Amino acid sequence: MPLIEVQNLCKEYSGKKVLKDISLRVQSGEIFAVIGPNGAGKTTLLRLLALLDEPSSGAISFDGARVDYFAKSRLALRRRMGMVFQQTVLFNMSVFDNVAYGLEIRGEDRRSIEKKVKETLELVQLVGFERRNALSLSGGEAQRVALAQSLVIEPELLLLDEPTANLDPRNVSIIEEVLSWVNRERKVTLVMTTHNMSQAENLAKRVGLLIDGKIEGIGTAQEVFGAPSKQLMDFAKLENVFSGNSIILEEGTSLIDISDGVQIEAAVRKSGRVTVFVRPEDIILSEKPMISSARNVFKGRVVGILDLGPLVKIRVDAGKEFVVQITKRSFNDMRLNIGSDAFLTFKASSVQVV
Amino acid sequence: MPVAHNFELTHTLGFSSQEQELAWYDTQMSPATNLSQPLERLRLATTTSTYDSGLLDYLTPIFEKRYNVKVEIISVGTGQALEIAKRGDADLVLVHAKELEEAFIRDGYGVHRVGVMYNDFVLIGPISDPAGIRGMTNATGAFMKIAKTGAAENNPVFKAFELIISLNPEVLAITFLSLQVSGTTVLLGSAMSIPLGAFLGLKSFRGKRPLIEFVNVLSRSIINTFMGLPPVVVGLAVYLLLSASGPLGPLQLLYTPTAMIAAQLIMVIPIITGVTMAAVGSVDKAIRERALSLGATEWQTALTVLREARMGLLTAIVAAFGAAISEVGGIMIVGGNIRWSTRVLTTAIVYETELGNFGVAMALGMVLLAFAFAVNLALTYLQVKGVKR
Repeated sequence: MPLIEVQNLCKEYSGKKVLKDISLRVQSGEIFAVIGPNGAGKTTLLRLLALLDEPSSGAISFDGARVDYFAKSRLALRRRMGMVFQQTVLFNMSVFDNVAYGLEIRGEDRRSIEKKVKETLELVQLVGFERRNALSLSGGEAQRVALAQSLVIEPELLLLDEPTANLDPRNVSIIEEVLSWVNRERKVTLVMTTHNMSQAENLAKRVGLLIDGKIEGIGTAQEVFGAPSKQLMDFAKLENVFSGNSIILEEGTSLIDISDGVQIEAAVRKSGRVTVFVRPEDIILSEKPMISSARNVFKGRVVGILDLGPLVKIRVDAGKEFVVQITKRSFNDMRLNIGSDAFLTFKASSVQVV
Repeated sequence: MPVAHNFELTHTLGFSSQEQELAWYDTQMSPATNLSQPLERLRLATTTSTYDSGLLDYLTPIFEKRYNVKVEIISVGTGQALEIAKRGDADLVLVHAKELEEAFIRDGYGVHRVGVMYNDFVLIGPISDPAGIRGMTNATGAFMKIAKTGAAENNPVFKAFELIISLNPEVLAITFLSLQVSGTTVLLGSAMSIPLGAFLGLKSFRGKRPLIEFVNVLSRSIINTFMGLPPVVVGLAVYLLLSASGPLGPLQLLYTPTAMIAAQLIMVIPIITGVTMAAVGSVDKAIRERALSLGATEWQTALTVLREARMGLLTAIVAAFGAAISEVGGIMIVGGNIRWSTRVLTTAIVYETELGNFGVAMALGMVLLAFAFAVNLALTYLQVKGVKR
């Protein structure tokens, strides 16, 4: 039986349609990933599932019963789920008090609280942090506390909004381990958003591709990313997704020919037909070729500039079109124009292969 | 002894008609003291010049002992003294403005007028006469000569330290009353305003329904207006309320610390409410949603937001205490600056400055500053600790 069933869900914010007619099912015990570019509506979908917002139209059913938005039933349902936000939010209290919060508001007794907090801190590898103020933690530690806050209440459903965005690899792997452990051992159903294709592939059984407020495909990662569709191409334009044939090199890396004379080296061993993905912020843009250890260097020409306030997205044609994200300051320093020559540099380990 | 020009002014003792017990003082008051009964209170409104002469300080204890009565002296301008008596807030007036006094009696506000003294203005100085003013008949000229030779120089800072170090009992009493009045004000004010400010601040989280929005804007505007209210205006309003002829006259609260607390509360409530409101309102919306997503009820969420805003609440209390302890205009009007009764640091500073006692004024100023600093130090320490913890 599906734990969550979403039917024809729509959400508007001040006249703008953020979610358009979304229907999907999440099975109990499953890990479901929603993948899509920034602004696709991923966070909005998760907030609706967390009952933080009410839909403009459509319905959500939880555990077979349609969700109503009266305060009492809403609270009862909310207490069966946990949510981790992309922007880590912690209370200005000790780590212990932060993790204990959900139990305290449920009126659990002191001994049970202490036991559960201890176990959960062990799980997220933060034993010894109990007395620290939560606001003094690093980004990765803080996100693990936020995860512990949501896990300690033993939710049936855990909603995660880009839980590892902007974290270093060590914290990413701790969080990914915890997530697969609670799913496997505690049978917690997970719904997560991400724009990281390999995370979606590694963790989730099924993936939903969300583009511009619409679900453009649901299935396994292979099914969704493997099928060349117009929508995937749109996503690809924003996020550097290419497909091609991969061969394993002697050094243990793979070389993927994405056609038009462009070959990308990736730090994985995979052969055959693959999809590769390079995050726009992982590509270094320079006016002259750089001397570095990075395995991928391409010469290209600027063909598009998109000003996003503090950040600028630049499209560079290097045989294939790449999107690079740099800060406004760097952009101003480099004095780039349409038609300028530019070099793209990125590491083989920045290349995600599905 | 050098003598300058003579001035002649009549000081008149008037009896207020609204206090018929005056006859009782004359006839029934026996010199014998009866300690088992609470002391009867005699309130005298007088001019600053009489009061500043020190004569009343000398006479009052003798009078009090003889008639077993507590004398309270309000020292103000002649016009204000007569006005206070007209409203029934003083039993006796000792002023010098003959025409006004006669009108006061004629209009039926006073029952008896008697001339009690004249004043001569005399310059007294050391026999050595360092400024050489002996024999002069012009006061202005004499003072200018003294100023020119610098003979009157003294060191107010030295005097100030002396008063503080010697723990002058009056300075101590004044300081204690200041702390008591401001402390009580802030305590009561916080108890009333923090919940109010929290309520208004949390409201802003809720929906954007036009009516709620309107009420919100209206209440915020009112609070912000009152935050800038001049204390003197508050003092005057409270005075008119508590005056014997005012609606709350029967409570007999005028010229008591309670009246001062009441006036300061009116000033402090908007400050604490306003700052609390801003602090609660500025807590990130994300904190509220975090609490909700962890299963908090609306009530638990509100308490969580309030706890996150605790540094802001501390700021509200600091700001309120600072405003209360440094306020002067309002408490001067409703407290009357009565020595040993309602005189606090700020009113004493004004009084001593007017008297030219810059040393004492400085000493009190330093005490005021020291307390403001101590309170801020303690609260800032709490804030720093609260962030690190």
